[in-house]
Amino acid sequence: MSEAIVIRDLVTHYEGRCILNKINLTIDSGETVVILGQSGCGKTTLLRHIIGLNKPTSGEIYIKGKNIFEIDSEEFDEIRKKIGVLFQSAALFNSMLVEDNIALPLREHTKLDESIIKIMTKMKLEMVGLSGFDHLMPSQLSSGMKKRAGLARALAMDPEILLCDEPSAGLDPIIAAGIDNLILQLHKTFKMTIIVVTHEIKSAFTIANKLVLLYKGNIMFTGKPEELKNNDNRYIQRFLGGIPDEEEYFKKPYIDTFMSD
Amino acid sequence: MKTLFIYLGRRAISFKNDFINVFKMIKNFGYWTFAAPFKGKGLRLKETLNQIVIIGYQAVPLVFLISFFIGLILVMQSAYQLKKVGAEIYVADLLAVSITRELGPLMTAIIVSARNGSAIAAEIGTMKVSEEIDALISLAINPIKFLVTPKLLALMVSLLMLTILADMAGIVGGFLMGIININLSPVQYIHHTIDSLQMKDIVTGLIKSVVFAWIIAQVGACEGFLVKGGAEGVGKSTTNAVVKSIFFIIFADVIFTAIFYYWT
Repeated sequence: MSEAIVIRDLVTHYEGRCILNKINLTIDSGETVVILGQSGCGKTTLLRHIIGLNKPTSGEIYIKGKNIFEIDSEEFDEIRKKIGVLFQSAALFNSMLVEDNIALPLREHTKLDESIIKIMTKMKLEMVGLSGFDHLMPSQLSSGMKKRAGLARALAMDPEILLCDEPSAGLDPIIAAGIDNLILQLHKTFKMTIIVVTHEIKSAFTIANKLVLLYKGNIMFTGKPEELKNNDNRYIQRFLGGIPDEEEYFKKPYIDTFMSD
Repeated sequence: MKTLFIYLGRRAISFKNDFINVFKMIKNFGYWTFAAPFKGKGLRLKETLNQIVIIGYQAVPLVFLISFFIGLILVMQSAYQLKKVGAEIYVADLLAVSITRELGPLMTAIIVSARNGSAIAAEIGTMKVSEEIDALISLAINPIKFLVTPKLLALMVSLLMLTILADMAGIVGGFLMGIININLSPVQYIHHTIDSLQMKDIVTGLIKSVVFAWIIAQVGACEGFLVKGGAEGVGKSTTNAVVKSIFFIIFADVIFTAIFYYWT
């Protein structure tokens, strides 16, 4: 398997705080990698680095063999055309109809006829189960629908790599499972390289070939889902079981004061 | 004391980063507006025309009325002074030159800045906080080309046209006030207006209007792109866009007036 994304010694500081500390990760083509971790551990920052939205303090990211921090913006845009991104908030363009949101990359980057673009848009919406919603504004969609429309837009250019930031966050279990199914289908049908950032354990185990666990900006674990499940590290077991850190949450002085009152 | 130095240091770094970002944006505006179209990277003509309707066409009544009133006011104020020396007819000369060289472009720019500079900052700022700008970048679409260039071109065309309208409205307003209220002869008034106006008066005003258009687009877009935080940040950037663009318009006006004074 060829390497789709290689991350080397990635370090990020923000206002003096270390967000990512020497991250090294290789993602092979066709893999579905889920990056797990608590809120604020640097998952989304890592994803934003891969798209080039944030610049790290040091380190390198290679996509298709090219260091994205060294190539010029035009070359990077050519790489971006092969990457689809589903943002946490879906980030649909609120001033455009759903169909225009999906058609936008096709209109900007291809010379396809408008009638073909319309057909492709309908196909993408059908793929995510949103047929018939093309003439609505994003504000008229529910959260789950927005996520699916965002996914349809991410798939508009038939990307080789799909990045999803918290695809099922804030959704009810049925819709969340639907999105997980969609990701599985995409992987099965198109053999895409998929990177999903989440803290939903169930979702992670459903879709992942490989799991990466981030803890305070460091990679604590990389491996197969079963290996994570069987790992006897105390933090990993607490994370998977959703057990709070007693030292951190229950023995703080203010809690003691509160309890004594 | 240490905290103060840390605070000052962070502010200095933040200011330096903002300055670098603004400089990069100015460079990008120039590239995507004037160089990229010649490299086959296209302009969004439909969106530019749409923006001309929003920025130019929809501002016609407001610009016309305000310029008309300014013409009335200027004639009344000038006549009040000039009648002391029996030179009321010279209000026609005074009005024609001051409207075309100065007040026409300046007032139009201030009106457009308040209407559209704030709108540009609010639109881009809202898109920034809702990750829409990030989405554009991830789709390999340059936000400056996509969002700013159509507005910049539309502002340049609209402000040029609106300034011509403002010049005419101001002169008409002054003319009506002159003949109705100050009892000047219409023929004499027109004669004085035409005699006093030179092509360079009109052209210098129009050159200024194009520069003002650039300032409004630049300040509005920069404020939008540099929004930090949520709705509060958008509110601040919208206010800043109007205040800063009016300041820079007047500052540029001083420079251009000085240049035109010595060179023409």
